[in-house]
Amino acid sequence: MNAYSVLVALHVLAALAWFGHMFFWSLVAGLSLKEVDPPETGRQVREAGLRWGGFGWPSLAVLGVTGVLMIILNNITVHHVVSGEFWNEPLGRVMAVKIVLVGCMAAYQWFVGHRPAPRLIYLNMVFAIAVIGLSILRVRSPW
Amino acid sequence: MAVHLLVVFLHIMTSILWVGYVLFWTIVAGPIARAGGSSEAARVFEAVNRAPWPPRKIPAPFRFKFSQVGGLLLVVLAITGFLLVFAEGIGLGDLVSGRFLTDRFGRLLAVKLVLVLLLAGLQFRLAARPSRRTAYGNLLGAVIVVVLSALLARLVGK
Repeated sequence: MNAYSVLVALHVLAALAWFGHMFFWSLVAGLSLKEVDPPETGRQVREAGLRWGGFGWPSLAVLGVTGVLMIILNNITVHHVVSGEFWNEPLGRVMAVKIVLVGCMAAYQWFVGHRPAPRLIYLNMVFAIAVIGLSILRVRSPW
Repeated sequence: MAVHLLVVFLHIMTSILWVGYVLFWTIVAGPIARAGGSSEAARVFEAVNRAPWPPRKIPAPFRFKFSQVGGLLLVVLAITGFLLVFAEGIGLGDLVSGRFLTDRFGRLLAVKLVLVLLLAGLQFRLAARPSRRTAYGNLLGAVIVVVLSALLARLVGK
């Protein structure tokens, strides 16, 4: 297992923890816990679930560091990025959209966090799905 | 190609939800067991496992118990996972005869399949009698499976 594989594994684990926690609590656990009988038990489990806060910021930190290191190991230099050369390639364009979407998700994390946001959370999930789709395209595409 | 990408997408989306399920039990099992002891924790976990998903306003045939969600996700992961393995040119005969073990991809796949079978057993136990130890074991297994999957994805087509 080389350094790049370790970075990929860490990147994937961080993304799965962040998105998994967000999707599962929003689409499954949150809805089920409202219907636990007796309701106090559901509230008790919800409170226990907030103990660790969320995975947003720690995952973003790991994703940022591993993402930058993977770009460096792909022989993409600061010159490539600053000169705009990188952003004109298909990989660069995918990365640009991905960075914007992750930026929107980080803004959600900053301004909303764990406060109830019945509509915005779904927009955040749409951004997450788009990031996943772009990541699949990046890995499975020939470029 | 489009169908293949769709299967990859479905496999990854399901694995995201499944990791969320694993994290759910890991996060809630500890504090509940510490706060109320093992008998109170067993009562709480049973109540959670009995809760419906999706909520009661959805008609009964389309509704599951919370305890069945993990199993349902594993079934979708197994179906999409085998479709992806077949797309790599590994047939059912290769899997049964062990012919797929000749290269690194095959050997990693074999380790993943064994771990997934172990995880299915743990998941069954988590649904029947959830405990802190089962939840933590499930998380450890899930982390190893995710790492193996990331390595397998890098070997696809090579």
